Amino acid sequence: MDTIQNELEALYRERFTQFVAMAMTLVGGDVSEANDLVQEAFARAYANAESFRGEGALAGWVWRILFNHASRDRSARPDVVAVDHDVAADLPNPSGDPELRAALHALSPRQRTIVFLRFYAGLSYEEIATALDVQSGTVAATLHQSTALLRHLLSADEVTR
Amino acid sequence: MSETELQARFNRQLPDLLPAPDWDDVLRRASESVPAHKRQVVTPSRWGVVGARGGRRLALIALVAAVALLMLAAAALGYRYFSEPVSPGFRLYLNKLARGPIRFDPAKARLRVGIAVPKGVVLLWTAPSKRDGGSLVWGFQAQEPSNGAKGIHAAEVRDLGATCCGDTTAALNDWGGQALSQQAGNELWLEAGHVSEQVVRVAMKFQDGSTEDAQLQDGFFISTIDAPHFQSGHRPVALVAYDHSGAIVRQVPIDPSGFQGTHGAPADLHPRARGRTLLSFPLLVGGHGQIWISKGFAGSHSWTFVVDRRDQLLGAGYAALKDDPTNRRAVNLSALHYQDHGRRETIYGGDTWQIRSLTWIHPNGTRTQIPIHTTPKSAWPYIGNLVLFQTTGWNPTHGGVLIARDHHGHIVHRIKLSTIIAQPDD
Repeated sequence: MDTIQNELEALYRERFTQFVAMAMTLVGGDVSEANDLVQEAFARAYANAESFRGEGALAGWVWRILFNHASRDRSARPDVVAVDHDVAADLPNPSGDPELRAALHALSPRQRTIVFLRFYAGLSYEEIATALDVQSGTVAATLHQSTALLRHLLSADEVTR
Repeated sequence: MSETELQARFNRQLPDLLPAPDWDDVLRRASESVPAHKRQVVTPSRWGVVGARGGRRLALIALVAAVALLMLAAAALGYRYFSEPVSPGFRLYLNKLARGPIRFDPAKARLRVGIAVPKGVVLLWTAPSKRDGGSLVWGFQAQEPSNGAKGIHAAEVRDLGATCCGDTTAALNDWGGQALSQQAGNELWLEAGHVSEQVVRVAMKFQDGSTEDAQLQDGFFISTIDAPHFQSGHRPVALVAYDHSGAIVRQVPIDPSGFQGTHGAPADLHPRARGRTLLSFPLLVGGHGQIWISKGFAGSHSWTFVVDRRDQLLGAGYAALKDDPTNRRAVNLSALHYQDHGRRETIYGGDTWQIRSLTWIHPNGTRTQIPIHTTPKSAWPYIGNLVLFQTTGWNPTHGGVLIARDHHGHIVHRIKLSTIIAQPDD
C-alpha cells in the first residue's frame, strides 16, 4: 500500500495544477472550492489506497473519487443540479469566452466532461476511461466527435463575425 | 482551428494564479477520514524529511524538483507562473523606481506569490538589491478588473508600493504590509515576507484563537487581513511559521491595537495608525492629506503618509524613521506620488530635528523657497520636526538640491533630490 501512497504523492505533486484547473470546471470556477475538492479527493485516495486494485490508471481512479465527491457535494446543494451521472461541468470562467461556452453547451454533459478532462486535466484516453468507467475506444470516439464539433462551431463563429 | 489553438483558448479561461500544492494538508485530511479502528500513523512525506543535514538537503532537492515539475506542468498549460519576469507594463514602473537610490535590476524582478482578493489578485514581486549584500526589494502589484468601482479602480495592473530592503536570513521576515482597499468598512491589509527553507506553513493568528494560513510559495508568503479582523477581539496577534513537523519555527508578535476599522472614523483609515494625526495639510488638488505615525514591530518607528480626500484613501507611503532617535543630524526624506482627476501631485516628507526652511536649487541654478509644514515638537517623542512639502506640475526628481536651514539660518542639510526614495502610487 505504501507504494500506491507514494505514487499518489508523486501524482499529486506532478499534476496538482491540472487537477485544480479541471476541478474548477466542476465548481463554477471557484478556485478555493476547487482546491478543497482536490485536497479531499487525494486524502480519500490516500486513506483508501488499499482499495485500488490496479485496474486502470491511478490518475483515473483519483479522478473518479473526485467526481464522486463533487457529485455528493452537489447533491447537498439545491442550487446545483447534476445532469445524469455526470457532474455539470462548465468553463472555469463562465463569462470569459461566450462563443466557446456556447459551443461547449452544444455538447452533452458527458462529452463536455471528456473534453475538459483532455484539455484541462491533460489525461490520456486510458485515464479518462478509468475516471468515467468507460472503454478507451469510447473516449477516443467521443473526443474526436466533440472536438470536431467544437472546431466547426468556433470556426463558423469566426466567419460570421 | 487547430488542436493547439483550441487548447490555448481553453487555457485562457484559467486564472493567472492557482493555489500551491499542500501535501501535508492531504495527509491531515487523510488521517481524519480513516475510521478509528483502521487509524494508523500517517507515514511522513518521503520528501518531507526533518532533522538530519542530509535530510534537509534531500528536502531541498525535492522542493526544487517539485517546483520544476509544477513549472513544467504550468508551462504546458500556458499558465503564468510566479517566477516569470514581471509584465512589460509593470517593468516601466520598476524602471522608474530603479533609477532612484534603491539600485536594483528590473530585469531580475520576479513575481513570487499571489493571493486572490475580492476584486482581483495581488502579487508580490521581489528583486535583488545591489546594496546591503543581496537583500531584496519587494513590492505589491494588484491586478483588478476595470469595473469603475471606487477605491483602487480601473487598475488592470497597478503597483501598491515597494520597499527596500528585506532581509532573507531569518526564519521569518515579516516585511510588513500594505492597505489595499480604500473604502471605509472594506479594508484589506496585505502582509508579506520571506521565510527560510524549513518553514512549510505561515499562519496569521488572531485574538479569538483562530488562524488563517498565508499563501506560501518558494519561501515567500502573502496574507490578507480583512474587515472582520479589524474588530476588537478578532484582530491579529502574531504571525507564526511552522516546519514540517508542525513545530513553531518562529513567531512574530503583532500589535492588535494597530488594526482599527474605519466605521464612523475616517481619520482611522490606516490600519496601523495609532489614532493620532500628526499633521493635516491641504492638498494642491483639493481635499486634505494627513500624516500618521505608526510603530514598527521591533521597536523601530515608521511614519505613514495617508492622503485622505473625501474619506477616500488616495495613497499611502512609508518611511522608516531614523534608527537612532537621538541623532539630531539624521534626515530621512521619502516621497509619495499620486494623482487625481488627471492632476499629479508629489508629496515629500521627512523627519529631522533641525529643518526650519527649505530651498530648492533647480538644476539651472534658480532657487525656489519651498513652503513646509511641520509638526509641533510635542507631537511625537522621536521627531523634532516632520517636514512636508508638495509639488504639482513640476518634478524635483529631475534634479536639483534641497538646502535645509535651521532656525539660525545655518545650512544643516544638502539633500540631492534624486536620492529620495519615491513611492509611486499611480
